Formats: sequence, C-alpha cells, structure tokens
Amino acid sequence: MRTGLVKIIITAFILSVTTLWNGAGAQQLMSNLTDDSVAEIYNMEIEDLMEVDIRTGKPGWFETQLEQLRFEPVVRYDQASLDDGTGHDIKRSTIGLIYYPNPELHPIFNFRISQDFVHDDGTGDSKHEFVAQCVIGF
Amino acid sequence: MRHRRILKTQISSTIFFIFVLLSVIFGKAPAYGESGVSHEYKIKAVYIYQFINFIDGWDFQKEENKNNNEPIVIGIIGKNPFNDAFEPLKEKTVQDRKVIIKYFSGFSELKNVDRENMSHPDTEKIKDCNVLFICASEKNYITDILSSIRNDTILTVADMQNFLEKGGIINFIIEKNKVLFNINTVAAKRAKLTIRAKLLRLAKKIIETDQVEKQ
Repeated sequence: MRTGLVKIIITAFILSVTTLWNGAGAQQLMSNLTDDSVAEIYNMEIEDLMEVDIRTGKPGWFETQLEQLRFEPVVRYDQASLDDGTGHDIKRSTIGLIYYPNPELHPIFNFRISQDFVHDDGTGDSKHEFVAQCVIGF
Repeated sequence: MRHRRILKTQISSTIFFIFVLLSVIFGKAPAYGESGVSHEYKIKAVYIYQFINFIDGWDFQKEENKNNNEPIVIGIIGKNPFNDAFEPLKEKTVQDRKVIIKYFSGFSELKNVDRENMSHPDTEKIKDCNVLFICASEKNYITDILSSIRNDTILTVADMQNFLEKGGIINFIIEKNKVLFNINTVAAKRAKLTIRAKLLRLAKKIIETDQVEKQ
C-alpha cells in the first residue's frame, strides 16, 4: 500500500519535472543532439526530395510509419571464426524490435527486445535467448 | 510457492513502473508540429538549390560570364520561414559557383513604403538575385513584387495560393505531407529562363497561362 503511494508521488513529481523539461529550451537542446535525417535531406536529388515526409524528414511510406510508431526492426546475423582447433565458429541470428519514446534521443535512450538464435556458440551447442534491454547513454 | 509468485508480480510491476517513468521522462509527442515545419523548409531550401541545375538562361551561363567567379544569389524577401535551413548548403557549389543567400525585408515589414508606387528600397539589390523566394508574409504584395522584376532574369519561387496565376514561376505545394511543386512556363519564358524537360516532368502541375499574359 505504502509502496504504491510512493510510486504515485514519484510519478506525479516526475510528470511536473517533465512539463518543464519539455519546454522550449530543453526541446531545442534535445533537437540539436542528433538529427541524421537533416544530413540526408541536404544530400538528396530532386526526385528523392519529392518522397520526403515533412513530419519526419525521411523518405518512404514504411520508414515514415515506423518513425511515427517509434519502432525500429532489427535483423542481424553474426559469425565469428574461431581458431581454437575445435572446428566450430560462433554463429548467431537475431531478430528484434527497438522502441524509442523520443526520436531525438533515439541513439541514447531506447528499449530493445530481441530473440537470439545461437546456432553454434563455438562449442557445437546451440541455444536460444530472449533479451530485453533498456539503453541509456550519457 | 506463494512467496515466489508475489515476488515475481512485484518484480514485473517494478519493471513496468520503471518503463513508464523513463518513457514519461524522455518521451515526446509525435513530431507533427514544430519539427514538421522545420523539415518542410529544409526540404524547400534544398529544392531551391536543385532548381538552379534544371534551368537555363541565367546571366552566369552566358559565354562572356563563364570565367567570372560571381556567386549565384538567392534572395529571400519577407518574414524568413527558413531560419537556418540554408546553413548546411553554404559550402556547396552549384554549376561550379558559390551560392550566397540575401535576406530582404518584405513590404509587410517596411514602414515607409511609398504606397502609390510600391517601390522597395532594395529593388536594385533584388534585381541582382538569380532566384527570389517570396515569403508568405508578402502575399498581399505579390503583384507589386513580381511587376518590379518582370523584365529581369529571376526565378521566382513561393509557397502560396495563386502565386503562379499572378505571374510567379515555381510554387511549392504540400500533398500527402510531401513537398511538391507547380510550374508556370509562361512566366519562365517572360523571365528568359528555360526550364529543362526533367524538371517539367517532375512538376505536379504545369500552367501555361497567367493573369499577366491575359493583360
């Protein structure tokens, strides 16, 4: 009961701080942190400019929809050749999803979930892993 | 067993609580507002640079001017909506020439305008521009601005309704959240500019007659 009350008080406090944080100065500061799309726009040819969504600064329907949802899909395959005489290499495939609540803080603050399929961990074994991460960069 | 279940519930609720808190702290409403506008004008700035490559007839393209190093001048008249959108383009060259941006106060901002003659104090400097972007703040003075540069080789660009009908050359439009453009070929011809087929093909709409032509 007491823990619940403490959580509500902390949330209320953080909500008030957030209101201030989202003010003009902080917004400007945050928007200056990173904006890869801007660099892309400045190198575009005229045909590509016609495809850029003014809300996101990015071309393409799919990319724009993902940007609006703030999700980024991840598909990865890793292979490391080991010279340890076992004849096994590390082979791993990953599929996952990155969720970023704030597009401007995307690289330094996001949540990730992924399913790792370890086909060979270097010893001949295989296993699957589910990973949930919260990334906070400084 | 019961203890383990309670512990598991507490851990899950704490993780959920942390997730919500972090999202609230760092989260931001969808970017339809302010940043949408800034993207729009960044796109338009790049378009303006690109237009120069698709148009012939400029003075700097003439044989006698080919070896001078005079920069291409883009003028912006009125309340500037671009902010610093042109900054990253400063280092870029167009047709091997540097591009400089000049800003002019609009009629809407000038207090001592001769209302009868509607002459801009910087008319001569405006006439030196290769491209003139007329900001939306000048929508009530479009006819005056266009008539003052009618005989000059200036590509006029804007993003307002009826700009082409009043004699402008290129007008930006927004369609499905994308920046597109319409072209007035008669106005281009009057400015002694030839728009290349590729640009015409990319235009959303081409108009071949305007109010100036009808006069």
